[in-house]
Order: sequence, then C-alpha cells, then structure tokens
Amino acid sequence: MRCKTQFWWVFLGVLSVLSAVRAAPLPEVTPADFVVKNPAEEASDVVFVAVDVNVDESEYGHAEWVYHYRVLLRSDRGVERFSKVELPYRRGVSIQDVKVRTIKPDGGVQQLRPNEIFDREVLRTQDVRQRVKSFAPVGLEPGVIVDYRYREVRDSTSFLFSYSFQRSDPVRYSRYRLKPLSLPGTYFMARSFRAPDLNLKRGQDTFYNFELRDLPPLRVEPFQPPTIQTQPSVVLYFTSSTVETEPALFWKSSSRALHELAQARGKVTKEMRMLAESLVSPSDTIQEKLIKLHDYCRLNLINTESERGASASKPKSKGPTNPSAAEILKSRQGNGDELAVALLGLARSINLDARLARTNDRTFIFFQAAMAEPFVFKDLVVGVKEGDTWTFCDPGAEYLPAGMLDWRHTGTSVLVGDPAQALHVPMPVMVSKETTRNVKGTFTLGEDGVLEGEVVVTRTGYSAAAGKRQYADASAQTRSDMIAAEVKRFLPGAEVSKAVIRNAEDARLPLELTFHLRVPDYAERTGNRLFFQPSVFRKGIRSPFPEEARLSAIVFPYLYQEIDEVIIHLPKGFVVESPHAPAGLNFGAAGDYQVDLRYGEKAGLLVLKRSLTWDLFMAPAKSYPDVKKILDAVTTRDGHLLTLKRSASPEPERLGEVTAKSSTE
Amino acid sequence: MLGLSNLPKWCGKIILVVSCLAGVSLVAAKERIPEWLVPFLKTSGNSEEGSEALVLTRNSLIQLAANGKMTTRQRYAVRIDKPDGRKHAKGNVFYLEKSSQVKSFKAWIISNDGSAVAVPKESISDAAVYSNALELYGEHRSRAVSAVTRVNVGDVFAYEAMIEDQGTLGEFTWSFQEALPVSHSSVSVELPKGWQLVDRSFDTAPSADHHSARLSSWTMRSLPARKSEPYSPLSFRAFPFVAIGLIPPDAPAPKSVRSSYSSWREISERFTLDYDSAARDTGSLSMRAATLIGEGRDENVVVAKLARFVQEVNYISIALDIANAGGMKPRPADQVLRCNYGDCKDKASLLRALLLSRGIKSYPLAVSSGNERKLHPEWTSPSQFNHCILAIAVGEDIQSDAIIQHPVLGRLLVFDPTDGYTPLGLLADNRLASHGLLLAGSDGGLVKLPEMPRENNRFVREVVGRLAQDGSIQATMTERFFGYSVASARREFSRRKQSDFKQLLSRWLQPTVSNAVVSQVNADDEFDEGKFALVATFSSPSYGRWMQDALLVFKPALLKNRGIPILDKGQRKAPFVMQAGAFIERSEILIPDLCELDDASRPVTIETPFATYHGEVLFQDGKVLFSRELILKAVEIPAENYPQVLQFFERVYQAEQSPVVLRRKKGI
Repeated sequence: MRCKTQFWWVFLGVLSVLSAVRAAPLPEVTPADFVVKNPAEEASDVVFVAVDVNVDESEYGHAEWVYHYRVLLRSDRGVERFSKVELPYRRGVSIQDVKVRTIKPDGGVQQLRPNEIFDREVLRTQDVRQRVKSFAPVGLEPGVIVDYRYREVRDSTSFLFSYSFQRSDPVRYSRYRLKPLSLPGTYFMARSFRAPDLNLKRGQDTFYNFELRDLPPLRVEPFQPPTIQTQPSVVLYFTSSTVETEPALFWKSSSRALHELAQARGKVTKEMRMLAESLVSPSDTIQEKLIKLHDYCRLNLINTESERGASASKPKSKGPTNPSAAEILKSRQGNGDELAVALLGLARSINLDARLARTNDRTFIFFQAAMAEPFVFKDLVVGVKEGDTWTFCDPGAEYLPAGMLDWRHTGTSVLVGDPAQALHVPMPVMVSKETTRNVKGTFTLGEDGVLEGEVVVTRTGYSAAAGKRQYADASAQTRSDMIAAEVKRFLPGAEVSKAVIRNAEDARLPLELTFHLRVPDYAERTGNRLFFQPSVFRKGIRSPFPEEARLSAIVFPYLYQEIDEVIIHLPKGFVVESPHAPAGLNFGAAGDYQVDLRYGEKAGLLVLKRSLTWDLFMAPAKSYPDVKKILDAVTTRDGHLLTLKRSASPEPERLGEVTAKSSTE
Repeated sequence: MLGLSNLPKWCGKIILVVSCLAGVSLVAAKERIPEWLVPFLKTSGNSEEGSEALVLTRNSLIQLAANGKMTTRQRYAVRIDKPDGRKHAKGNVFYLEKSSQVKSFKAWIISNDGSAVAVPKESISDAAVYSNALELYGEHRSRAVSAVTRVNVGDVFAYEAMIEDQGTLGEFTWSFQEALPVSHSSVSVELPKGWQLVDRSFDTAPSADHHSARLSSWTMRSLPARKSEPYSPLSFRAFPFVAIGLIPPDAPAPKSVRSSYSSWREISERFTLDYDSAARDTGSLSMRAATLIGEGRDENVVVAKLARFVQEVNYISIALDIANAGGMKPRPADQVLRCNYGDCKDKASLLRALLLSRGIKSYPLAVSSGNERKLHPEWTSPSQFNHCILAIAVGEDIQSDAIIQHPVLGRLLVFDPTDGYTPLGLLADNRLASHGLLLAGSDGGLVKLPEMPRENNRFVREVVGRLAQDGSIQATMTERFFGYSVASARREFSRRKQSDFKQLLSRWLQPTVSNAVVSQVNADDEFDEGKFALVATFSSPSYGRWMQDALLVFKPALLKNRGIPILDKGQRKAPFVMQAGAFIERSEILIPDLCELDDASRPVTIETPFATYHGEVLFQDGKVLFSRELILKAVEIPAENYPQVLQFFERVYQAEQSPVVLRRKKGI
C-alpha cells in the first residue's frame, strides 16, 4: 500500500444540530431471550442478552455515545449486581435520555420514572468534577430482563478508541458502531485482535460497525498474555496521513522520527560537556561511563512521575513542553522520558554512540513487525552502542540499575532511532541468574514442634526491584509489618520479629532482609513422632496452575533462580526415621530443580539446599499440561516430609560428619 | 478527625469516602500561625508513649441564631511524632448537601522552626459520603484536606472550618476521644436569648461549665487513644461523650423549628404519624397480600408468608431531607411494593402495611445494630438508633424466643425484614443493643428487646471418606448449622456461585488436603425451621503421604475448627467475653486393607471454666474414627486471665494438628 494523502474539508467550529444517532435499534425482547442457551449461561448469575454502543464523533467538540444494555438476571446475586446502576461522568459530559425498564418473562413491563433517577456530585477538587447519575431498576427479581439505555454527550473529541467485546459474563450479542471525526491530514486506522471476522471497513452510513455474537465469559488465567491480545477487541485511532501504512516503511519512518527527536532535544552544550566530564574519568570503560551518567540522572534529577518526585518537584509553570537535555539538566527535574533525554545529552557530550529508543510494554501488547501501530512502542530510554552490542538505560526507572530495563520491556524488541533504517533491536529476557532470591535460615526444631531461628533473604534483579518499590518509602515499623504479612501468607501462625531491610533505596545493591522467625506447631506431633517439612520457605506454597486445562498461552514475567539454604538443629532424643530426599528434576531448556539434603544423626543436624532455576519465558496453551506437570512436581518435592522418631537411648554429644541418603521418587 | 454528630443514623454506618488528592503541588505560601493554635503548640510530650501522633486540640463551637440557624466552627491540630504518623496529617468535616454549607475551610502546616505555610486549595476535596454500598442517593458529604506527603516529624497540621446549617434537628453529640491520643478536646454551645439546652454526659464525660446563661462548654484533657479490643464487654467499648439537646423558647415547637425531644413517647408520637401515612393502602397492597396469601389462611401462616415476601424485596437506600429527620421517614409502602426495593424502614413499613391489609397489627421498632453500643435510656434521641425492624402482634399460640410482652399492646413478635437469611421467630443479629424504640403513638416508647439464647449456636460436621492405597481420598462432608450460625452460613453460601463456592472450599481444605477438588456442593436449607446444611463431595490425589513406602500419614482433622476465634496474642486491658457455642465433628475414614494403625495422638481433654474440648482418634473395623467437641460457655473472663484463653485455644489447635500414622501390615 502506498502512502495516501487524503484531502478532507471539515468546517470546524460550525455548530450543527446533531440528531439522534441513527442505528438499527435492538429488536424487541422475545420469550426466547429469557431462555438459557448453554452451560456457560446456566452457570452465570447474569447474561448480557445485548450490548450496543453507538458512537458519533463526527462533529468536532461534540460527541454522542449511546449505550444500550439488555441483561437477563438469573439469580439473587445477579439481581443484587444490578439493583443499583451508576453512570459516572465528568466535566464536559452530560448524561441524557436515561430510559430503564424491567421486562418479566410473562411480557409485563415496568418503567422507571424520571424522578427515580438521581444525580449527585461524588467528587470535587480544583481540577476534577465527578458526578454520577444513578438509578435502581424497579421490579427486579431473578428471571427478569433489565433493559436500559442512555446517551452520553461530550464536549470533546477522542482520537483513540478501544473496545473489548468480552465480559466476565456471557454476552449473546455485542455491537460497537463508530463514526469518527473527519480530520484533514489524517488517516483513520482500525485494527482488531482475536476477532478475525470483523469487517474493518466503514459502511455506507459512514459508520464502522462491529458485531460479535455468543461470547463466552472472560476467563482470567495466571500468567496470561496481554488482555488486548487474548480477547476480541478493536482499536481505532487517527494517524497522520503522511504516515506510512506499509509496515517496513512505517518502522523506517518511526526510527527516523526518533533519530530526529534525539537530534533536536539531545543537543550538546558546553555546560553539559563539563558536567559529564566531571562525572566520569578518562580511564573508565564505556560501560562504566554510562553507569555513572545514568546514576547521576537517576539520583540527582527529580522524577516527576514517581511518588516521591511528585511531591518534591517544583510546579511547571511556563517551561517548554518538549524541553531539551540542557533545559532538563538545568531544571533538575523531568518525567521518565525527559530523564532519558537528559541522559542522552550527557552521553553524547562525551562522544558515546547514544541514541533515543522506545520500549514496547508487552503487558499491553506484544510487538510484531507486521503490526504497524504507533502505540506499540512508547516510553523513551537511551541505547548506547559499543561494537555490535547495545546497552539500554532507563534513568526514569527508580529501582533499576544501568543496563537493566523493566521486565515488561524485555522478551520483545526496542525501537532505536536511526536516520536510514528501521532499527528494531531484540531485547531478550534477562537470564535467570540475574534475578535471584536466596533465603538462608538457621533454625532449632523443638520437641514441641516449634521451629525458631534467624532468616536472611537476599534478592537481586527484578525480585530486588519489586521489593524496593514496595519497601523504599515505608517506615521501619511498616516494613516490619510488611515482612510479617508476607511470611504469614505461607506460614499463618508465624511470629516475625527484629525485621531489618537493607539497600531498599539503592538500585545498585541487592535487597537484604533479615528477621527472626518463630513458628509454633511447625512440626506435627503424634505420641512418638514429629513430622515436618525441611523446606521451610516452601511450606504452604501451592502450584500456580491449579486448573487442569487452559485456554491462553503462558507468559512469565521474567526468568529467575531461587536458592534456599536451611539448617535445622533437631530436638534431642529424636532421630530421622529413614532419611531420604526427593530427587531432582531437569526440565531441559526450561530449567532445573535440585535438592541436596544431608542429615547428621550424631550432630542432630539437618541441612537442606534447594535450588530452582526457571528459564521458561513463554509456552503455548497446548504445552500447559507439561508446564503444570513440572511445577506440580516441584511443589510435591518441596512438600517432602521427614519423620523424627523418639529414640530409645540419649544422643551422644559429639558432632559428626553429616551424610546424605537420597532416593528416587 | 472530629466526630461532631447531630443527625440520626439509619441503616448502617459504613462510610465510603471517595477522595482523590494525588499529584498536587504545594505552594509554600508563608502564613501567620492562627492565634487559636499558638497555646497548643507549646504542648510537650505525648500522653501515650509510642504513639505516632498527638492531637493537640480538637474543638467545636456551635452558635445558634434566634431563627434556628446553626453555625459550627471546628478546629483541629495534630502533631506528627513519628514517621508513620504522617498519615494523620489530614482532616475532614461532614455536612449535609441540602441544608448545610461549608463557609470556610483552611489548613496549615507549622514546622518545628515555627514557620507556617497554608495548605493550598488544590489539596482540598469535597466528596459524597455513602452510608453503605447500596445507597442510591444520600445527602451526606465531606470536605477534606490532606497534607500527608508534605509534613515531617515534628510538624503540626491544623485546620479550621465554618459550617452553617439550616435544618431542624436539635440535638448532637460530641465524642471527646478518637483514634489518636488527645491533649485537649472541647465543645461549646452559644445560645440566643430564650433558648435553653439540656445536656447529658456519658461514660466519664464531664459536666458542663456554664460560663454564662448563653455559653456552655465541656472540656477534657490528656485522653488516651480510643481503642476497643475485640470480644470486650460493652462497658469497655464506651468512650466519653456528651449529648446536647436544644430547646427553643416556644417548646414544644412545631416541626419546622429546630428542637430536641423531651421523652420517648414524644418521639414515638412524632414518627408514628409518618409510618401511618406510609402504610396507606391505595389498593395495590391488599391486592398483593391477597395474591400471596389466598383466602382462609391461618393467621400464623399469613404472617410467615408476608414476612418472607418482604425479606425478598431488594435492599436499596435513599436518604433524603436528613436535616429534617428524613432519615427516620419511610417511603410510601405502595411505592416500595412497585419498585420492589427499599431500605430497612421501607421494608418494615411495607410489611406493616401488608399485615394491616389482613387485619394484623404491627409496630415499627427502631433499634441500634452493628456497633453493639450501649443504649442510654435517659437520653431521649432517635439518633441512638440506626436500624428499623418490626414488632408484630401475635396470639398466644405462637411460641418464640423473639417475643416481648407489652403492657398495652400485648404479645409482640420481633422480626427483621431486612435480614433475608433469618426466618420469622428468630433474631440473628447478636449485636443489637438491649432496647429499642417502639413507634406506637402514645403507647410507644423504649422496650427491652428479646435476648436469643446463645446456647443454640451449634455447628456439627460429619465426614465419611475412603483413603486409597496410593494416598488419595474420596470423601463427603456434611456441615449442619443451628441457631445464630445459620444466618451467616446461609449468607456465605448464597453470595457465591456454585463454582466459586467450590473453589473457596478447595482453598479451605488445602492446608490439610492438598490439591483437593470439590466435585459437588449443595445446600440443604430448611429456612422456616432455622436449619441449614452444606453437603460437599471432594477428592484429592495426595491426602495420605507415604513415608519410605512403610508408613502412610494423614491428618484426620480435614478442616480448621470453626470454633477457634482469631485472637491477638498481646496483653489485654478489657475482659474477654466468650460467646457460647458448640462445635462438634465426627469423621470416619476407611483405610486401605494393607494398612493398620501404627501411631496416633492420645485422646485430649481440656477443661476450663470458660470452655471444654475433647478430641480423640480410634481405630475400629478398618476405619479411623476421629471426633472433636469444643463447647464454649457464655462467660466474661478477667483481662488478667486472658493468657489462659490463649493457652486453651493453642492447645486445641495443637491437638488437632496431630496426624495418624498407618503402617503396612506384616507380610504385605
């Protein structure tokens, strides 16, 4: 497809009386609408018989969105869900023509009266006015259909539309109609996801019309791909009519635009050069220089998008809307994108081959080259090339060191600025050894079943970053409470004390947690025996995949390693009955699981080392049974129990060499 | 936060405050420290060691004009003593949309060095306050300010607000304490000529200082934070407050003039009129009652059918004209019938009207529910109540623990039509205050509510299962509920789809029965008899664990003991009130033929003055028989004996963790 330039003449600012949006109305309710059609509906409290959304944005600054819902209430729970309906709206929007009726299976109809619709301001601040129109449909009981429609009139124009057809309840019919504004110099794009049969062309009535039928309830599964790519949806938006639509050309022009942006905003000044040179030394490697410049931006410039930064920043009154690197460095603050621009300027000022790049958020949408859409790559970062290797830095990410992007931007590609070509640089997921969670515990197990001891947790990589985000601004007491809550999730009766967290504010160092742990009734007791799980830190943790079947592919956030080291001093007078350890597992490219369990009868000591390396990033739905089997096997092995039996004679005092005895399970 | 309250509260006190104050910047405008604040800045120390913050002052001045207009000035200042105390640097004032107006609202931050800055308007929000999630419309609003991200340790956050009110409610309360320790707490009332006030001080609140004929105040100092411990007696959940009623010059005043009430009968006479008006039948009510009942029905059956019908009317609350006691007035019954929704007073009124159409009398009964607050009979105010139920005139042939005997009106069966999970004849709300206000015109007044015998609260669980050689189990579990426990069990089951309830049950089973799959769960609901049972079938591939192929280990107690409460382990100040109840379980697990019993815990019997427990495991006819019985008595245990309570439940818990050990029979 070649570049299109279309000439549209729209008489902006003409106020025209807009008649009601004309669309074929929904057919009248019939007895068949009350009948359950399939097991999914049978199991649901509510069935959406029809959802109809008509959007007319053809007049600039005046839009009408007409909603029509027809819902079959199948149970008391369904009735309660619809007993109160709230229609929120903000300044510049009005809700009009609210019509509500309740239709009974025998055909009886009850209408809501106008004075039964209430309007209330729910929130007012200096910038926000949020109101809500609310009503309670009359005559609701299980088995009725509630049918309501309303018009939303907006004094604004939208430039991006997205609509998801599926809901948490079954939907029999869903229609979305859109008539966008005719904007000179633009082209209106439409794309669908998981709905290949949708017609993406405008109809003769100038509306885009999308209809789907018999949609099952949305099923939320753990570790799903992005929502937009797992459920039927459409995205429509304006783009410049000069923008290429053919993917190869589109990406080439995108890279060029990024390059031009870098040229415009990353201009090197004398002050910048002096600053950069003061931060690095001539003997530093390129990597070392980049780290220093990155850390300067991250630590010395206020990130206005962070919680801390938002309160510390100065108000932006009359500054430029797209400040240059020099301006950002001078003001000492900026949003995430602006901090990247500042780093770009500093890097270029010492002659690093630095470019601006945009990341792809794979939790929103996975990049595919054929998908030539501007929303695929969004946030700015800086890429520095050394030979054939790229290093990407995001100074706007508070808790990530230089060279590490947020995990959402890994396992996909980065779009790099280039004057001459489309430059997509693959951004693989970080290897598992870069994200580790090492837990060490030294415990005493009492005859009464109480386990007590000291714990040290060390986290690196994304595990550390997540922890720092959680703990960084919390007080000592709050941190202690958070650790206790986290421990109690898998050890409900546990008592946590003396909790200390180190390096929560430092992106460069591992996160360290230490605490004292006491767990009453950790071991189960009979008259002569104690049963306990040596893998203390895995107790109570279930497999993440309890369901037998799955619909969507599996996408894990990142690869990681877990290393547990547990030392347990066993109670005197007890011996391990038939000591044995679970066998390790090798999952090939997906990783492995190893257990090393040693027991010293004379010393009354048990030493466990357990490690899990997870190297699987993605798997298709059909691989789910295999993935589930692996993780179930890990969970089963983690739950391995040992038996302590009361021995006939007292234990000798000497410590001896610990030995291992393992068996295959 | 200030707790000035001058309005009756109905139908729940859950407040959902919608506020959004993110992302605003503070313009550091230098200000003079308000003069009223200066003396309090000198307050040193904190009455409660370890407290995050100290309220330096919280006070309210109510000025009444001759025409009844009320102007309230609220002042509040809190000092941040610890980093976690920063979250207390906020404030809000409540008002009513139609009748009140916030005339001014200003806040400041005073730093350690004595400098003051004003909190800018961007940090102030105004939001609707919802009394419950099913409120369709209400008039309560809140004006709020937050400086949580701005203050540092040592700073003082303060605010002052002026509110004007034009309503006719002539009474309000002032609570001296709050969630933080308070250095100074006071309320003052300034009256115009000819007006009087009547005040009552409760729970160690002081008497008034009458500075003049027109100005009175009540002050307390150095108050600890208001904390109530769970399971504590009413007297330990009471905190000092003063109730103030206004009396206009021409009392008794017409409805349009702000005034308080001098007697319970006066309140009854006043509001009975509203209920009588709401019960007027335009024909639809008697027609519906006739449809529901038919002809020639036994009166007891009539009452039961109509009661059940109204229980199934949907709950929605609409609170209008609150400032003029609109919160006490029901909507017309025929309107409630048409809409098939209403709040507690609407449903009581609807049932009343339906019963009346069949010649059966009943009377609205205002009660206090949820907080289990102590009712103060000497303080005649409808604001002591927050819920409405019904007292139905019944004959001698009806026997129920929910009947009260009225000297004039006879036998009255107390029933709550808002509670859809409890049948006629029972009252499931064990948090009702002791008395209610019967609205029966000149025959109305305070009545003592019936006390439900708590010993009826019983739960019985039976499990029958088969443990296979590979450690898997197939089992059926039946849980039966009696007494108070029925309503909550019914509610728990009804609020979830079957699939969701199965998942919930799987999660409950998980700690003992890993990978449990619940294949079926059904309810056996004998609603009118007040009984409820759940029957669930489940299985698990890994219930029993083989240890080196020689021992098969499993836990006979499949589920947590429902009778064990969640208790704080710290020290306690208030006595512990044990709620009566009986929790009984019997399980029978058939073990594999190749196994025999090797080891099991010995029987455990624990007896204390407040509870007893007995648990044992027997082996009989190839089955492991497990039984446990936990009986709790309704007693009050002194605080110093609380460790014994903890110890008792810990021992029970420990006893129930013991597994059963089977061994392979010799030769197999």
